[in-house]
Amino acid sequence: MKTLTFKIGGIHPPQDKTAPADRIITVVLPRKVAMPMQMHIGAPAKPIVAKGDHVERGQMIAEAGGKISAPVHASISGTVSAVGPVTLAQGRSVNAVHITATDQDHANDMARIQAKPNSKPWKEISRTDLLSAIANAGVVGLGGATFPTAVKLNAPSTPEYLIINACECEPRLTCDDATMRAYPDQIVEGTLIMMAASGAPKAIIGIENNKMEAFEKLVNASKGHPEIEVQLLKARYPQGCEKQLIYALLKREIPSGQLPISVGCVVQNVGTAYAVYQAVALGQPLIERVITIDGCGNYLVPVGMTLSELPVEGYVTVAEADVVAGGPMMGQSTVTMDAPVVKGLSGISVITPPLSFNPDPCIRCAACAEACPMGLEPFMISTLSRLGKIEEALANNLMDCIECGSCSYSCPSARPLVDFIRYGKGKARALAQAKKK
Amino acid sequence: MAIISSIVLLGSIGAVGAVALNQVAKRFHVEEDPRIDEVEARLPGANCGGCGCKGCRDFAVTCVQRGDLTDLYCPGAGAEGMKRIAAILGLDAVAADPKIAVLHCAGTPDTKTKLDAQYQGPRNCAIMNLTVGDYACLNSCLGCGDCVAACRFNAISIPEGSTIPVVNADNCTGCGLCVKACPRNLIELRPVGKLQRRVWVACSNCQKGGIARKQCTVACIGCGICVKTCPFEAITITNNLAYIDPAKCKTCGKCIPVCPMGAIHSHNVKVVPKEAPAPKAPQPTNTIKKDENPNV
Repeated sequence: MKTLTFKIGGIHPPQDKTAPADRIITVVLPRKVAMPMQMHIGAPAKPIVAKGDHVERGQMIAEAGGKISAPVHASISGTVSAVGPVTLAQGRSVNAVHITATDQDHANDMARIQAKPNSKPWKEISRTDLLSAIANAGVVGLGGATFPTAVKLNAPSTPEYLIINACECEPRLTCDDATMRAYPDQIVEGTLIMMAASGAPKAIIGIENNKMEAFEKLVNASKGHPEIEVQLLKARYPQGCEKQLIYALLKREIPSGQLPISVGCVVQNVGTAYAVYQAVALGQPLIERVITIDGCGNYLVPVGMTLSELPVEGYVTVAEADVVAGGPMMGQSTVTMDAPVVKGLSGISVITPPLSFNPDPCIRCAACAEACPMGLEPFMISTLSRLGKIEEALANNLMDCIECGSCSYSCPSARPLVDFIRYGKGKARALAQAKKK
Repeated sequence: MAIISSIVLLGSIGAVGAVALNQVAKRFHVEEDPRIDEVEARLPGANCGGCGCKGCRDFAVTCVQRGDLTDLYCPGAGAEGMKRIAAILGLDAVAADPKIAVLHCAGTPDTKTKLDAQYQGPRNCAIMNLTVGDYACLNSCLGCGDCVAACRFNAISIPEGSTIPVVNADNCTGCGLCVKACPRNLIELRPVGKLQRRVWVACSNCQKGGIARKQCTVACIGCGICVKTCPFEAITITNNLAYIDPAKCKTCGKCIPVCPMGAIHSHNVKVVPKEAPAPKAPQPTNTIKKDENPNV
């Protein structure tokens, strides 16, 4: 089989995938969780429980707050101790349902986990029922963007291809690799469910060639399903971005400002495929996910568990090192470890020693333009954004930037290019909103 | 011989070019009002955009062409400068309230609550504001000096050892470049005031009292005592934050001592201490000891 990749730009950062992906460690359920109401893109969920209510593991505690939204389910059984704010890892606070478990609740939950449920047949279920089952289970994109999966699968036109994103091009993270090695059959099953839910006749699983074991397992698992193709890709950053992945697999380019459905594709993360399988076949909502702890391993963690309670040896505090939620390229720095695990958290990376920023002047070498996978001119957009010339930056396709950070990574003057572009994008969005009014 | 021919050739090309350029310059000469240059010479030349025009030249052209100075005010030149410009143009200068930049934050590392993690990105307010920064208060000055970099009149600076910018009243023209530069909207243009008297709330924290107090020891907690104290109804509280309307404020200074957090700052205003007049100091003894009295 030919290994494919995208055409322009891209970088090869050190992989550092030191967290072993051969096993997933199941974390003992915590006695206390905080379930944030905003773990997805779109409107925040609305709590439907009040202080003092008793909730069961897997029970819906908040309903979707709009068309683009997702419900939230309790990840442990217990009593609702409060409905109030919680500070997320990035420092912003959101509304959350706090649940405290008694010893009895805890024992019940642990017993229930031991008893593995059998998978239910789903082939008879109609498309709308599949979509509502996925929506009611609170499944969102687990690659990091956390877009509600059911909304994405219910595209305005029937897609030609369902693409399963198993690239995991982000350095240090191995959670998708671990999920694929542990549950290849379930992922294939989840892919079939999503094909039925979206109406796509074909599916392609795109996987980078640094995960050969997972690739072989998926090839074996999908043997009886000719409609699913497993395609090997050359390891390269940012291949896990929708636009680059679609180009690599199908040589189709998404027009500026449009969604993958415009070229007949729907892209879903491989972790999402597993979550969809759990939601539809096992009836378990999205209440736990696999996260990578940099250098330690992969853990199956209930959503809402406090980060500092994770059973990790040699733990560093945020004051000692730069602790990043996500990978080193796309992740955001955390300001506190007393924050809950959210649905979109793919891992924790620890960057030691802390980075220092001493940018030098731009020398017009165009290394950023060469590295940009979108074919933009980052030095130009970044400078225009910094100077507040948003209109001009928009004319230079500011909004096409995928914020992958390849420009900042390749800049020999260590200029904060992607940071200024991100700032400019924020300004441009505010400007567009002001114009609407 | 080669030298002579080349001198003649180049000289004649030069001469023909000079004559042609001269003719073209005469033919396409644009008559420009000489007053534009005169007006421009009176402007600061910083191209700050505080007047609303594209730059100083554009402002001069607008002044001359419009023939009326209503709504035309250069904050850099000030009232004096505008009078001179009016004299050149033979028009009446329109008086405008001179303004000055005021920072609505007084938090220092000593007063603000630090977060566990420290920001390690580029030292730039615009970028730092994409994260929460170093402190718990999300409405406090980030202290990277985007306003300092934006100012073209050298009027705002972060003194050594300090973390918040200080406005130099002598240099500040009120052009508003720093207002645009601040990503947390902490700077406001306020009237300079009679005799340079100004009173303002040096805080932008919109959190409820208890949270604000935990985040910073000089934060406005929205208690409302200043609202009750103000005899001119100049103070309002929105989002747990007091705001003094400069149009109504008579700079009496009564609100300053009553603020439990000391969040109201002033310039050139006599502040009467909050407590009842301090206990009388022991009377100085005027009696002169006999030994020291030279008259004795």
